Amino acid sequence: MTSGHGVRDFRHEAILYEGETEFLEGVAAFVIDGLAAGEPSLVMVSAEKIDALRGRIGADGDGLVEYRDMSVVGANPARIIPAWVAFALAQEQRGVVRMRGVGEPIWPGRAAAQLEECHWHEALINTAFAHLQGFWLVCPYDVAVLDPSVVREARQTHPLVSDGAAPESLRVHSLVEEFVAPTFPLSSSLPQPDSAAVTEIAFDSGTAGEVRALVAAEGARAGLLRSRLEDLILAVSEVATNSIEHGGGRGVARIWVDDGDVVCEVADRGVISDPLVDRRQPGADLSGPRGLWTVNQLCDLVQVRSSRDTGSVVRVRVNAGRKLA
Amino acid sequence: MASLVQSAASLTVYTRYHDCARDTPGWTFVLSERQSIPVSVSGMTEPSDRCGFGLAFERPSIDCPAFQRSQFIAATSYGKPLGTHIACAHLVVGELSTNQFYPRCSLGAVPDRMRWLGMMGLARLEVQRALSAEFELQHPDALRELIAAKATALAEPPDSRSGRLALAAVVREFVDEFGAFVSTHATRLEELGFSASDLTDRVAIVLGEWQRSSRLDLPRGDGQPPPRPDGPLPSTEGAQVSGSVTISRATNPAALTFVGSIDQTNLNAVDAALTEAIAGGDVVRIDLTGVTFCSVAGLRLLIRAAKGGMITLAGMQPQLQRALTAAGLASVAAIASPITDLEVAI
Repeated sequence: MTSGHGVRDFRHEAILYEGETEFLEGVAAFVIDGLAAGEPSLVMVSAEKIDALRGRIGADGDGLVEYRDMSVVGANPARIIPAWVAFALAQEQRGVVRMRGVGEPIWPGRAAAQLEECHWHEALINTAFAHLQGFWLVCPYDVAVLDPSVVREARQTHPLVSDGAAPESLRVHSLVEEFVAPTFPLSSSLPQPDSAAVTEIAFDSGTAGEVRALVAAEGARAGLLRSRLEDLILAVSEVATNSIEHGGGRGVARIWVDDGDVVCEVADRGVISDPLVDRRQPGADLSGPRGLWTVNQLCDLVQVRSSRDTGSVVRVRVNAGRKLA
Repeated sequence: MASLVQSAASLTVYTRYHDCARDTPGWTFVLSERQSIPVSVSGMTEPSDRCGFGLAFERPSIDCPAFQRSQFIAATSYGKPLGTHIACAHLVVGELSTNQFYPRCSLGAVPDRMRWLGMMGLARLEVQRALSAEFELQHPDALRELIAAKATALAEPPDSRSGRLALAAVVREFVDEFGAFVSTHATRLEELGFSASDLTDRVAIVLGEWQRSSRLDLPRGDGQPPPRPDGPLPSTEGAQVSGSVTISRATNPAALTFVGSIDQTNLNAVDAALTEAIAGGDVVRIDLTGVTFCSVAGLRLLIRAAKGGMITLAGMQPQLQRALTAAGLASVAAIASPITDLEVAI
């Protein structure tokens, strides 16, 4: 292994570990192994794990190891792929052809909607990096603390699954050839809120301002800070604008409160076919779409669902901060 | 100053019931002479600043975007409380040249109300409204108790002190409750530009003065109209109103001022104004201090114009700056040198 990972294509691998010691040993060995071969790594895990890894690997591994707090980067899981893309592009520009990544997007305490988007994110990675060469991405899952259903999902979304984190004990469970990318859950439906708690408004190009007013009033009532409320108003407004411009000229906006989050949803008759539509970083040339990208940067969670039969739904969540209070 | 002060601690007891509510079936609200601002209106012309909801504030939803709920206790001119009522903080008495009174919006006509709304920003207004409503919900009887205690104190003979002592206790309790409420919501208030301790001090002073005065009605803040935007309302003279945005042009030095919300209803007008401004040949200062909402498409227009080097963007509110960053336009903006002198107004 000291001659580098030898991965020519993109390798997306889940590592099922048990407990912190196994995590540290396995991940540290994986990164150090890369260092020996001059392969840079980006490690995105919790701040505590970063501290522990730094102790074993060194602060930055001679400039080849970058650490990022996954609880920040991955607070909204849709922001993780752009972080990997930025890392890969930066390496490519430096002429690096082989690189490694460690990303742990799922930890105990992720809410149900977040978990769903995390699994969707893991599945999308296969699509997003299908053509990227020389990138070995490892996703650690702690089987000691995660629900078995989470681990089952991880087996579905990763072409490679290994038990135990230590590289020498890698036992490949499923091979790339056998891997079938999960079916596009873009067409799945989202759980419905209690209709009594929902405020709803239909809008078209003439009444889009009323959507902003609705979000402002309901979001303020739910206890959002002014700044968070302003972000939410812009986010929902961008989604509603998409409905007007691409979704048949009209839509329905709904707002409610769920588990400390203000939840807003816009439904229209449009069809979204690009699963990565909200994760493609807009270019510096001012052209191209940037609405959904912006929404992902402003909100804590964004769920996009679309099918030819039911049209599109974009549901966004912003935490009202009461959990932190 | 603070609408919270206005709606929570300094609500007006309007006493001139017969002056304003004479043509109302029953009495819904009464207005005080003190608030009266004579407006000369010739003949039978309907004043443009008439409040459309002057007599129907109890409706569950008021269909005016500038509506600022304000609770008050009506009383007869002899000081007898008539119950708690809801009005709008913008509501004042207008007087026609025929010596008739009418409910007047202190903001002005509908376009003025929209401009006020644009400058205040939806989010700020709604957070203020939500906080006021929450206080009312938590202390539904606070105002009634203050007024009742004051009425008792005013009615007692000069040689008695019990009523005044009881009033002092009620005022103290109110200030404590108010203080506890605002400190619980200190972060939300801070974002609205209010310091929790300043607010409490202010309410204590205002109520202390009221407690010692001979008035039954509560003072209305510092006599200022309800919440004002960060800057003065710009003149509408020569301004172009396009949907929710007001566009004003100036020369020497060349400047373009936008106030309100830039959204898809006025993108074309904004684009045209920018194009025209740039065509003048001078570097144009774009004042965005009064812009409380700007869509991503709007931001893109502004940045595209700035990239040309002929405009500077000034006074971007924090909301617009966050939006710029979220949209991935902040880095593009940094490329265009003229906006490096991007001024921040908070």
